Amino acid sequence: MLKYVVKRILWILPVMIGASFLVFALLNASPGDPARIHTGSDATEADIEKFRQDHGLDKPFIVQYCDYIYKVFTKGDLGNSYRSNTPVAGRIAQTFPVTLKLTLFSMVIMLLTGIPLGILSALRQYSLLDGIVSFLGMIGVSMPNFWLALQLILIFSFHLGWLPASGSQDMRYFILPAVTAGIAGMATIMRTTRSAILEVYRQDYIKTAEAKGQKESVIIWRHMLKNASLPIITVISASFCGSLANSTVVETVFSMPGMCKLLVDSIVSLDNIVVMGAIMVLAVTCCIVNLVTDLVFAAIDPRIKSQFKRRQVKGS
Amino acid sequence: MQERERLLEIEDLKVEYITDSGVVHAVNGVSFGLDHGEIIGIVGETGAGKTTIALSIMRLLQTPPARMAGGSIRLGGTDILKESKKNMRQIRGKKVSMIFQDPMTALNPLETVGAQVEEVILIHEKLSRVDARKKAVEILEMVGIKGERFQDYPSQFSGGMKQRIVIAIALACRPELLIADEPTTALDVTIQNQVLALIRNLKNELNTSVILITHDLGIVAEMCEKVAVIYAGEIVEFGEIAQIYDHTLHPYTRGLFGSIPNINATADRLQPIPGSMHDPRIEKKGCVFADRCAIRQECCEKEKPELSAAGEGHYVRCFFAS
Repeated sequence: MLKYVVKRILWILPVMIGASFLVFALLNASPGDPARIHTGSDATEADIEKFRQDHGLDKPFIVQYCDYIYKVFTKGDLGNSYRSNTPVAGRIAQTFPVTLKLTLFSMVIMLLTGIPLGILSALRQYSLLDGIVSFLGMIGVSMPNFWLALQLILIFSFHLGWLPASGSQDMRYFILPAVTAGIAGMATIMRTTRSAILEVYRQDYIKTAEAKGQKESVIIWRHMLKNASLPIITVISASFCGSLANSTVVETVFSMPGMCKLLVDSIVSLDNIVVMGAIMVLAVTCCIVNLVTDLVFAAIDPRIKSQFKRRQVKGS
Repeated sequence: MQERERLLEIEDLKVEYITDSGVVHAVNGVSFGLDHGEIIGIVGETGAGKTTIALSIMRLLQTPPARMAGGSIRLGGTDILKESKKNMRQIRGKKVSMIFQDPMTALNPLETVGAQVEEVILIHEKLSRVDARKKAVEILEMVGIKGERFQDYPSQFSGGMKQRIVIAIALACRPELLIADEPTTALDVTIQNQVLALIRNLKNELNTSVILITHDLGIVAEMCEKVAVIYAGEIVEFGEIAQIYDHTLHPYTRGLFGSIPNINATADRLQPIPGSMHDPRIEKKGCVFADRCAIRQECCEKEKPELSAAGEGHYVRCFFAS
């Protein structure tokens, strides 16, 4: 098992190299010259050339990329921002906790609403409740979140004045953004939970449990939910990564000083080195989430666990 | 044969399924009885209503779409169809147990087989975890699964072994009645024999009554004392093994025997029963088998034959069967 975990962690490396190369190439190929923009409109050709040399922009693309990767892996140095000339790592360390807090908060909202509603509507399939929940789910999935964010601000900040519309000073500031990010994910989780439970509901082992004389509540918790949990967990981990990506929109609308806001601002101002750093952090986070998901799978399902063991035997 | 006490009495059982395209009459007035320690076979083709009868006895039919349209099922002194949900839970697994068709899917893949045997013991018997575990190991060994495999998962067992485990679960609390719904259909022939021998031995050891549902006449001949032949939700012939096999009366039963290959006869083709079962959404006025029957006459289309005695304990639903 330990060997499997180490192997999975090592697998993150090639993924990161692939992702970083892709982003680096895209940024390099995108129009606009960072050197010209960040030296200002009254800069001389010599100033621009000096900026290029300072940031290594005068070298060929592939050398730039190798330099970047080398620095990241040997010194943990993500470079200096073109705009403010401060270390990128520091900027990310300041802003990432906000993004993480927002994502975790919205995950809590998703799980606490999506899973119970999904279970309820599966157990009362085709009832009025199921209809209402499915209808709300449809709305939740199809509503663009920037629009939802604006409506929430309009109602709860502007008209009712209950919650702040921008900032991240304390937990109150996180409520509206987390709800915005949570609603779309909630609908997905709810629908997956519903269909996973319905799928398990028809299985013979549920009949076996009923034939034993087991109570309905125990059948649901012990036999149904555990078996239905694999697809649900898959969707949860996808929702986590989706939520991180969604933060770009949510943090921008709510003016939160998070890493995704930093990412968007840096894209606009052609601060490519910051864009690079922020995307690397997002990619690593998603890799870790996927790793944890796989380990949870193995803990739940003996069939998956036994596969690891068999592979270990072959490998050793 | 010594006198045995009556265990199960099914009378005029009617079950319907309400579907979008109409009411399906799955079981139409089935009656039969079963003594303690007796083993009865229910034979019929797919869709004849065999499994519906079994699930009715367990009260495990989903209602809706199913609807108990009439009749009674008496087990010991109690009418199963009138019991509360709570009482039914005490009957299931304790008094009546069921073995399902496909052992591959009948066990929860995420729990150890030991835990699944233990579960039924803990539901019905006031035992500590340790004692329940001891008993579960005993039962697993009784069906030929080694005790040290207690902690293994269903995916680590073969189909035949899984069916043994399913049988262990069904018999863990020594039920009075075991319903085996095509217990060997999903298994290959050598394993079939092992599983059937196991059921027979356990039946003798525990004096359990067995309802064996199958479409395999060979299995019935080997295992059962009595047979009920079911067609389109009705019993068309009922009797002791010897009566059904040696004095076959109903043309449908004859047709069933005709569709078995005979190793001594030099026939190029099997003799299938022509046609297929009528649409169960339509209630037939006359004999249910009339459309496919070789000896039908005008009255068969108009009037329904009663299940009438043709000998001591031998009943047949046909005007011309003699």
